[in-house]
Amino acid sequence: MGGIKRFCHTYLFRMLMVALGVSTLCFLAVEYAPGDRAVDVALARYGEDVSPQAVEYIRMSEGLQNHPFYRYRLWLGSLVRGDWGRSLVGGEKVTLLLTTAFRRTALLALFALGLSLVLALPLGIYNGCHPGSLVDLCSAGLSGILCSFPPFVTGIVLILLLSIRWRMLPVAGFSSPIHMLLPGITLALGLAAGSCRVTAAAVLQARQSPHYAFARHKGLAGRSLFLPHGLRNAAPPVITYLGLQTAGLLDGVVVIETLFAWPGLGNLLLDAVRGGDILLVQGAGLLLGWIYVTVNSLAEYFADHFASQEKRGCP
Amino acid sequence: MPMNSERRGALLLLASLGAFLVLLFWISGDPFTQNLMERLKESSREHLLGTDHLGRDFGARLARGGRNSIFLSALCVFASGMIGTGLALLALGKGKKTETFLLFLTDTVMAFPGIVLALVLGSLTGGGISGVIIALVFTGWPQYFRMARSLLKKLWETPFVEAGRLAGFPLPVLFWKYVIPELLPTLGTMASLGWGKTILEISSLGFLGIGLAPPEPELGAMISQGLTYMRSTPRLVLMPGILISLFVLALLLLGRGGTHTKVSKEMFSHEDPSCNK
Amino acid sequence: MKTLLAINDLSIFDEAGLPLVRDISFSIVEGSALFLVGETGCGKTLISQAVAGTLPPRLTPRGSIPFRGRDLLKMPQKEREALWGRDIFLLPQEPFSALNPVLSVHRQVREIFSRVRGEKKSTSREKTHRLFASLGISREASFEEPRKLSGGMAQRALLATALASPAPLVLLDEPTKGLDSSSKESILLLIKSLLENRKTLLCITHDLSIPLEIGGDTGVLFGGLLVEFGKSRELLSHPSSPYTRGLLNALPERGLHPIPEELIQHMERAWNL
Repeated sequence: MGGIKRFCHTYLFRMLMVALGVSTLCFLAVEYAPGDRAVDVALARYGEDVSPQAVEYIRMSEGLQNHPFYRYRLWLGSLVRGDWGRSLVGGEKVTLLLTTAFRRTALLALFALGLSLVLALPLGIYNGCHPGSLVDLCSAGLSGILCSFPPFVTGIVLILLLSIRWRMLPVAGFSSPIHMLLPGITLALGLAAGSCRVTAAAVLQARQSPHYAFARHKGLAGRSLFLPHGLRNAAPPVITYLGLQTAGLLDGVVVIETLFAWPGLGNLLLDAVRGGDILLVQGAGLLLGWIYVTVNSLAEYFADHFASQEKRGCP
Repeated sequence: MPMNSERRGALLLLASLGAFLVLLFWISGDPFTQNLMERLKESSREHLLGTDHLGRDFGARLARGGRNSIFLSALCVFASGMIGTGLALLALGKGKKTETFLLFLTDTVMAFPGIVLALVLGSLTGGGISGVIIALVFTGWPQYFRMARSLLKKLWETPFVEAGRLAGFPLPVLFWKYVIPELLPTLGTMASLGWGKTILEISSLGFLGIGLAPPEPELGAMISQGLTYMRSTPRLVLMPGILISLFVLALLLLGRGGTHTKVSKEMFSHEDPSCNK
Repeated sequence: MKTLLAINDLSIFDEAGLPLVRDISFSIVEGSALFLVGETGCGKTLISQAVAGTLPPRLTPRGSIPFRGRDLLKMPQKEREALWGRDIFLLPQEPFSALNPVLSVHRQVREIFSRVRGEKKSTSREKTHRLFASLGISREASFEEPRKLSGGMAQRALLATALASPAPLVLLDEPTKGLDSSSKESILLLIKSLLENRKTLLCITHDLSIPLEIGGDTGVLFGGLLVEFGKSRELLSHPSSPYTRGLLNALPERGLHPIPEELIQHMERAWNL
């Protein structure tokens, strides 16, 4: 199938581009960033009172003095070999930090997605079947407003309400599953706002289509009408949208993790950037970039697949 | 851009917000003067919206921060739009090889996620605003390129453009008189939506500490700074948040205006919607 | 020679009370075809909609349409919709918009057997296969989505839905609209197939060559009035109304003569339009 082959080509190409892009940028950041890298690391590692010897020690031990091109080759080489280095600050292996953080982010993201679907799909289907109803108009208004809130604003409002005012949920931390609720709900609300609208629109469009009318004229009704001719046709744009949402989830995740101190990939990347921990920045950036490429490419693939289904008269 | 009640409402909202900001600018003091004796004061004669945690006039900071967010995001969107449309016109005018190269370029760029790239670039530029702008424009132009190109392709085949070509009009004239007027509505809608989205991105990055350096106020950064004082002085956090949300809401309404029941296929399509061209 | 459907003094009024269709009466014999012909805007589609139950709500019908012992116009909308697919089948013009693009054509016919007729899944599948085979559509093709089929095959798939349906009355609205002469051939075959399968046909068309070819009865409409009615072949070879003669002369085969303006005016005066 030509489609799959082309998909693989594009996908691999993009992964490569992201890898090259991120690693080159990180390399350049090391080389040309303002200030002395060795000093930054020393400060991050040892605090304010750091001696010149410590700085020099770091400079030597981290090899921060060789020629740029040579170091670039070494840089790329170690990346390819799978040696992504150690955190300049804490010393742990980058790959280890990444895997732990990834698991946590994945947990949060999946929870948020799942919750958003539970919220959005039934509501969206109902709205598509009863357009113009009170529920439809209210949820449209609410979704519109929610969409305009930056994720951290929704999060803050939720914190103010649920944590501070009503003392229902803990704000930050990671020790128990309940800590996942507040960040998860924050993300889920933003996601649900979009998917609810899209689902409603898709269901409405399916129900207003000529083939839905024909199916009714054939004598079908109830579930045997709605499921194969309504939902089945509404599914592709919704799935496409969900794919795009998942890709965009990445941006939201970084911010939400910071707000709620959820120790995932986003938080890791941010700490790394702040601490000048360049190898960690590279690792986290790469991983996040690859996740993005994967989700995005899959979403595009399905979008094309569904789009081709809509083409008529093209054998 | 066709007018309807939603769009009118959005424009009204935008105008009010703009007026509010201008008013704030006018009546407030200096957003930079710190006065640690006057920290976290509630609203008073001198400081209409109170002071922040460093004693600075909060209203002034809101006004300036709002202005910063709006202008910066407008800059990003404008740059992305210009680059994207320009490249699309180039692809059209210069033939197959340029087009293939540009498609290849677009594909590459679309592989990069915006905020992540901004963060990584942040390491390069020390977390400054230039890195943010570069990252956002870099990840922003492909969508304009794709949309412009898809519209251009359809437009190029239409009889009236064909007539212009046969009449011998040079390419720039064709673009200016025929093509641009057709592109503007859709691209304008995209730009409006993009503007809202970019404001969100910039404030998110500001919240994370990447972007405009202090003491220059930025709404997201202000929120992040105000978090510590959230319990006692929630307005430090709520007011910038609401300001951002209202702007974005207005821009989204402006862009989407009344079309909330139509899933825009063009916005999702990644291929030419033609099967045998 | 049972009458399946009768139209008694049907009039249709718009919101302002103006009659769009006036005092139409005719009946359709079971197993035969009835063609309503006339120019655009003569009201033939409205009559079809009145029978189907798809008349726009702003229009008011008067009269009666007895069908299988009940007056269609007296039935509430819900009950009329229940007739769809079981007593009355509305055959659409264009297969590619009528057929669901994401389901196979096999599935779309099979569901008529299983859901509408209530038969078992295995029987439905068998019957669907046999039906497609009789129409010249191979098994592989039947499992494809509509867009993968050629125009002719899709048309035949659409015919299959009508044949699979238990409804005895099939309504066709302008089946040859915009088709070239070779596609018209397939429409004629379609109509003949339906009649062979003992369906009763009510066909709205502006194309006089169809009733000429098929036979049955024909009613000529002008300005919402039934100008002439009778056996197709007789009426169209020896028309009594000058309007019908005018329509015939307008056929491409007879020279494409436009209907004379004086005739139109005469008719409008005569019928108080």
